[in-house]
Amino acid sequence: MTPAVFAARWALPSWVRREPNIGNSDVGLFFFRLFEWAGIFEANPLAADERVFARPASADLNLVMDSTRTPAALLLRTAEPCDWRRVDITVLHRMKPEFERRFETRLVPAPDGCACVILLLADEIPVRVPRGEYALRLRYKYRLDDLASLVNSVDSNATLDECQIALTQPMGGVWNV
Amino acid sequence: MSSFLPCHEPDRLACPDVFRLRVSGWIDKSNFGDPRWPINTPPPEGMRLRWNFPFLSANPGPRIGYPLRFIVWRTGDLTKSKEIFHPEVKVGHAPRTLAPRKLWREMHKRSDNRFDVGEERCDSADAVYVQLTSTSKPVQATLLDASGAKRVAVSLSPGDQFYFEMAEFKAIVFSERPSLVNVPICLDLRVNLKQSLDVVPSAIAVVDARIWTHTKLTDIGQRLSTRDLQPFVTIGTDEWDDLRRRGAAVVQATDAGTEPPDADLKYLLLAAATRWEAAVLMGWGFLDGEHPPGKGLDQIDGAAMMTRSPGIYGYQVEAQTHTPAGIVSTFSSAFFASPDPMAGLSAPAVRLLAPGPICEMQLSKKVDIGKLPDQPVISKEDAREAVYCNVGYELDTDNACNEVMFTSPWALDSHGDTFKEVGEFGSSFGDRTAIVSGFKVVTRRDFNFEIPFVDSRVWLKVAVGDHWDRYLKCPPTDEELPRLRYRGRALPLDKAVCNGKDRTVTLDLLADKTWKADRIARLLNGRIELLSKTPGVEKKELKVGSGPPFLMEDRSWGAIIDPVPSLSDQGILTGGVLQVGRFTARVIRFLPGSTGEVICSFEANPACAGERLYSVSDGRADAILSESDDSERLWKLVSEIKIFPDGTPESRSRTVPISSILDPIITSLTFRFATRLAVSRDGRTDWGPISAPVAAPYLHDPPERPELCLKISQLGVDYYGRSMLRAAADNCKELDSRFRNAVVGAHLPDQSALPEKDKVPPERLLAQLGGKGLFGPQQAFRGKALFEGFTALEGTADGEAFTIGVSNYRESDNAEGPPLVVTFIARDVGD
Repeated sequence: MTPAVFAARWALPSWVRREPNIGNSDVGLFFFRLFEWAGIFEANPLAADERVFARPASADLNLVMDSTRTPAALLLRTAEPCDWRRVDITVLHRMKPEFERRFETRLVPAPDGCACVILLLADEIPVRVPRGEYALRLRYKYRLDDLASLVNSVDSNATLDECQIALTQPMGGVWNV
Repeated sequence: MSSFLPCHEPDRLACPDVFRLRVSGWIDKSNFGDPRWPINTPPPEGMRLRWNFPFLSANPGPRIGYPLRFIVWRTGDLTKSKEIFHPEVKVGHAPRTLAPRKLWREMHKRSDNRFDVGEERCDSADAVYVQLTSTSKPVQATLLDASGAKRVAVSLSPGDQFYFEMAEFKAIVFSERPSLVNVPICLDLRVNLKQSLDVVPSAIAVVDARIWTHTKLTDIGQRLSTRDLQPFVTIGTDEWDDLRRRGAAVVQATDAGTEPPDADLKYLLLAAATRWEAAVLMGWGFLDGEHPPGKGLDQIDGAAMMTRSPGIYGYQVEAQTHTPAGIVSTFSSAFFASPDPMAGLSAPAVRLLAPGPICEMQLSKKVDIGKLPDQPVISKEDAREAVYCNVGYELDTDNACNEVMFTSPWALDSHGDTFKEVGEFGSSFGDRTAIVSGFKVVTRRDFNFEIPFVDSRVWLKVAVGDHWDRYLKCPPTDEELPRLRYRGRALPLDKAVCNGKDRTVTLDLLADKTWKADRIARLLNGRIELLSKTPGVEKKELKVGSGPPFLMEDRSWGAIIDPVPSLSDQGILTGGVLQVGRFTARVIRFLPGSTGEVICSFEANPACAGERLYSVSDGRADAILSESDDSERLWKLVSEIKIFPDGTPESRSRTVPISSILDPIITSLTFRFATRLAVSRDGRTDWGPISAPVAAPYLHDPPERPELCLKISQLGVDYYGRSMLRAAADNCKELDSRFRNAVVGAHLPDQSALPEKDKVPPERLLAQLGGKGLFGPQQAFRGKALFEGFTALEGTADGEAFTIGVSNYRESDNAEGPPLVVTFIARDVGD
């Protein structure tokens, strides 16, 4: 499987690339700015549970549409704060029976860590979310660089937790480079 | 190789002086040239002989004594009876003496790289001949003399045949093991003609060694006169009488067995060495040729006198000295000469050496050596400002007859000062290190001499001569205007004070009433430049790799550097510093190499040849190129203060607008100011060094209050109970993009019930009570939207007022302006 090839018309605006990365204290502002850019704060009032800061009873995955109603990113919400620095998400995408490409991701967590925008990356450039079938592999690392280990050091096998999600995304354009 | 001195000095030896004879070729009016000192008589023709005078030297060993007479011996034409060695020469010079092959012998191998004349310390010879095979590596060779004081350096290529004559030649040292056709051979002229060559020389004259001390000039002139009795004498009567007096004193002291008066003896030696004419009149030389009829003072065998012809003749001089043991004979070294006319002198090629003449002002104070060596007396007069010029020339000659180069630097008068002649420097190649390149002998002359002023053009007067009084005046070099190395020190700044309100800065010079600009500044439109360090421009430093250093054609050094600095960096770094380990040098320029690489040329003055300036491993060394502290780019001219003709500054304080340094200025910052002297001539400006900078903090006005309408919306409450807020410019002006925005918020107490006089403005209350939000100062998104989270807002009941302040915040100096205060009614947006 090849990494997704970058296609110019799919790129998110260039300011996205200049925003701080996860780990920077201002990444929460980036989270807000993505929704500002998508026009969500100017839209008609949303239902209470559809608001950005509405916490679901259990984790849910949402699609963030921009002002042109084109899917721009995925939004993963959790019931409790999560240390998103430990999270690693790989996205596989297909239109045909077999998965054709892989997107790396850039995570933009909310200030409280209960939500996180997943930006798809093609050639390290954030891109919109194409129509198609998706398989998401999420890994939560117990051990990571300078962060405190979450597991007993004796238990060397359990270094991460992994889950996979498959879904069909019917909106937006067809990835066609 | 700016220096050709070997890095390991050979030991200097004290060897006994050798009684040495030299003979010219045939000299007559056809090849004598114009006389150096005016005279109408044609030069008497013949072979000119001269010998040195080691008889009174006591270093080392006993003094021989002043000789009674010199007997001049001469063989017949040796070409008929002996095999004469004619060396084939590709490098060096054509032989001045052609000797029988028998007198050439193999040198003694001291090591792979060194051959000596003999095994004894003081063994010496008169010429050397070396042949490299066609497969030899190129090598450097250095000739050393017995005293270790004179040297000749030569680069030899494969197949080269090198011939060089050198008095007291002792050894040849190669830079690495050469491949030689044969062992180097040397010519030893310290032989007795009769014994070594099995020939019978005849005495052609007996020169009275003492008669001159009591003979008047008019009578002694017959020693150097034409056959029709015209003396060829240019020495004046007074000069001759002085010589005679000194000669008599020396003879008298020697005969009495006492130390000869040193000053007198030295004077005689110098007179004879610098003027063949003096040597002949003093009986320290002889002309084998034209004389007036008769035996003269010297029992000349008139019939035996030489006439112009081919052939090679051997000469030797016998000195006879009276000692308590009787008459003792001392034989000079032999010399072989041909009565063929000698070639004439010719002008050398003279090259101005890079970087050309450089002049600078120096302060000099008279210092008297005083009565005791450790108590010099320093003059109480003020130090004198004098301009000195430093210039180097290289003189090339391929004419073996050009034995002495006479050079004298000159300069034009200027500003009422006349040039004081510094005299003529004459020296033969033996006096200093010479470099041989092909048939050229290259000598270098460096002068440091006082010139009237910095705008005095300088040039070199050149003449060549030989040891036979021939002299050729050559064309002088072109006049050159020296480059000024200006070191005038400006009055430094005492302080610099910025005024944030007026946006000006006041620069005050040091209140030193005694300071006066130097003479160059007074005469060349000098002024004190007030400089500001260019804000935001850092001194450039580049890490590079440097190859091994090598000598460039202009005698500067160069090294290939990589990666290649950009053209703009090359410009910036020119004049800066190259640093490799502990080695530092000034960068002269960058120039392209033959295959696209870039060569950095730099100044270095190695103490000796082959000195390693810096070491490289695998052909590379880590290096740093850094911009000069005085680089134009780093400083900005702010203002100038004129210098009055008396050297005092026109004023000691200047106030200038800050906009002349930085425009627009948008932030507080610290400026740095300094001074330097500038002088101009011929449209060219030179600068002295930059003084120590002084700092001046500038406090910029804080940012203004944002003036716009803000729409506040509550986005929700996060997990930690912070109410998220969006403040957006609503259909009005945008937030100023030059600034970030700080947002504070508070639930302010209700003041509606308070009397008007007790009410506190919300801005002040906010300053006291306002809490910072979740984020620091932020850039408004697209000039429009700010986001912030406040815990206090979540604690504010539905329907109560909440107040936020939005202010402009300047990141560069952390200055924050007054806030725009907005109060809104909090809503419960749930969690």
